[in-house]
Amino acid sequence: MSIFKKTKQVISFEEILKGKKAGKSQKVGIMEVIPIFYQSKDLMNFHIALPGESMLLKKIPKYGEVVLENEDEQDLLIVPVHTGFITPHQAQDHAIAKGGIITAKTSFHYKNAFCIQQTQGGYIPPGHYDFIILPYSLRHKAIKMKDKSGYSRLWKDISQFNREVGIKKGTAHLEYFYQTFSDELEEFIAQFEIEPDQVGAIILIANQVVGIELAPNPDYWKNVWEPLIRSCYGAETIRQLLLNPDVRGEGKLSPEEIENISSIDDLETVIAKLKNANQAKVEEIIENLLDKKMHAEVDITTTHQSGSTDSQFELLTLEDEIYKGQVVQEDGVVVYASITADPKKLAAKSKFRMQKS
Amino acid sequence: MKLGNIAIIIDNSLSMAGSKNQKNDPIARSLAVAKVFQQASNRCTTLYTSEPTDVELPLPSGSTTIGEVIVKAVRLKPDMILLFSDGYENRPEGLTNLVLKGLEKIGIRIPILHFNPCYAVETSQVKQLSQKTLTLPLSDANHLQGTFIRLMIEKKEKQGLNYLKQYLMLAGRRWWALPGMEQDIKQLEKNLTIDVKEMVQ
Repeated sequence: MSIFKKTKQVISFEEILKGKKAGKSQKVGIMEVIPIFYQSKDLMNFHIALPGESMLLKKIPKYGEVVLENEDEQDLLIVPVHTGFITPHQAQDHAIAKGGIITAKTSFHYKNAFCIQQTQGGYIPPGHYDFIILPYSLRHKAIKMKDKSGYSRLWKDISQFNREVGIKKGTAHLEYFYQTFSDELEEFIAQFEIEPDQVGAIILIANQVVGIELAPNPDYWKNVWEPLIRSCYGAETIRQLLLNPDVRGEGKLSPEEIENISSIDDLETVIAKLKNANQAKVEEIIENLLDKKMHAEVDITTTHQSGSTDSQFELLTLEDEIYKGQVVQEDGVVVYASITADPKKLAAKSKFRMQKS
Repeated sequence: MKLGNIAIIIDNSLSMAGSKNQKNDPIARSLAVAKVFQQASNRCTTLYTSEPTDVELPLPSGSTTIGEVIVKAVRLKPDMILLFSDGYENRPEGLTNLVLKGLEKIGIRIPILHFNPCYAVETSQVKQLSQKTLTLPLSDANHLQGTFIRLMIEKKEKQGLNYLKQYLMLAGRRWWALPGMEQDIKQLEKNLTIDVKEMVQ
C-alpha cells in the first residue's frame, strides 16, 4: 500500500553516483553516452521487477488516467519516469507524468496522466505493451505538471515539438513523430551499445549533459535503454539536428589530427591522445556534476520486502536550477534515477536550440 | 580462391548480435565466412574489436572501436585485411576513417575488404565505415563467389564479365550433367579460381 507524504530534503549527484563508476564514452554524431557501472556487483539490487516483463497496463479508466499493475509475485516494480504507451489500437495513447513504485501483485492508479494523441477516441485495452519514454524536450514540462489535472495539458507542447521537427499536421499527436522518424530512431539502437554490467548513463547532446539515467541492475537497464535512446534522447538528437544543422559537424574527428604524422607510432600516439582527451572530458563532466545539490520532495513512500529483509522505498522528485527528475531510494540509497536538464537553460548557454532561429 | 597472408578483424561488439528475431545471426555469419578465408589463406591472424572471453564462440558484447585494431593488423604486414563489421562504430564514430587516412598519409596501402552482414535500417544498404575500404554485403559462405564476381566486375570489368560467363557455363554444365562434360567441368572449375589479392590491389 502506498502512502503519500511531502517532506523536503536535499540530494546531490554525489549521492546518486555513489558506489558507481563511469566507463568509456560512446559518441556518434552529436550524441554521446557515458556508461555507468556499479563499482561492485554486491551494490546492485536484483530484487526489482523488470518493466518489460512485469508492467501491465491494467486499465485506462478515463482519459488522462492510467492504471498500471506489477505482475511480479515478489519484487517491487519501479515504473520508469514518463513511461508512455503508443499502441496500434484505435485508442487514445497515454503517458504518465512521473515515475512510480508498485509493490508485488498490486496496482497504481495514475490520475494525472497525459493524453498524447489529441483527436483519437477510445481506451487502450489491458495488456503488455512496448513502452516509450517521452521525448527529452517534453519531459521537463511533463514533470512540472505532474500533479496538475487535465488530460490535454501536454498538447500545446506536443504540437510545438512536432512543428519543430517539421511535422505540419496541426494536432498534438506524438505518434506522428515516431512514425515520421522511425528509421532514424531505430539507428540509434544500433549505434549505442550496452556494455556488460552497465546500469546507467550520462547522456550528452551537442556537448551538453542532457540526462542522467540509472537503473538498479543491468537487466533493468536493458529494459529501459531502448525506450530511452530511441524515444527520449534519440528524439532530441533529431530535433537538435533539424533546429540547428550547424551543430552537425561538432565534435567530429578532424583530419588535422593526423597532419604531422609520419609513422605508425605517430598514428598510435594520435589515437592515444584522442582517448586521453576524451577520458579527461568524461572526468571533468562528472566532477562538475558531483557538486550539484537538488531539492528533493518525497512523492511516494512504501515498505516492501526486498530479498529477505523489509526495505523502505521512496520515490522523490528532484529539482535544481537546471535539472529536474525523479529518483527511487531504497533505505536511503539511490537505486534508480531519471533526471533531465532544462532545454531552455541549455539553450541560454550553448548552441542547444529551443526553436528555429 | 587465392588470398595470400591475411589479417581478419571481427567486430564482436553488441550490435553484431543483430535483431531479436535472428539473434547472433550477423556474428555467426561473419565467423563462418572468416573460417573459409582462414582456410584459403597462406597465413592468417584473427583480431577482435574487444577481447572475447571465448575465442571459439566470441559472443557480441560492448562498444565498438575498430580504428585501433586496424593499426594492430597493419603491424602484422598482411597482404590484405578482411574486416567483418556492421559498420557502426562509437568509440568514437569516425576513428576508422581517420586511421585509414593516417595510414594513407604515411604511405601504407594495405587493401581492406569490409564484409558487412547487416543492412542498415535507415538506408536498406550496407553501412560503410570509410570510403577507403571496399564494403561488400555478406550473406553466407555459399554466396562468396557471387560477391567476388560483383567486385571483380566493379574493379576489372572485362575480366569480371569473362569470369561471370565461365561461371554461368559451369553452372549450366553442372545442371545438365551430360556424359562427356566431366572434363569440361574440371577445366572450368580450374579457371574459376579467384585471386582476391590481385583483385583488390
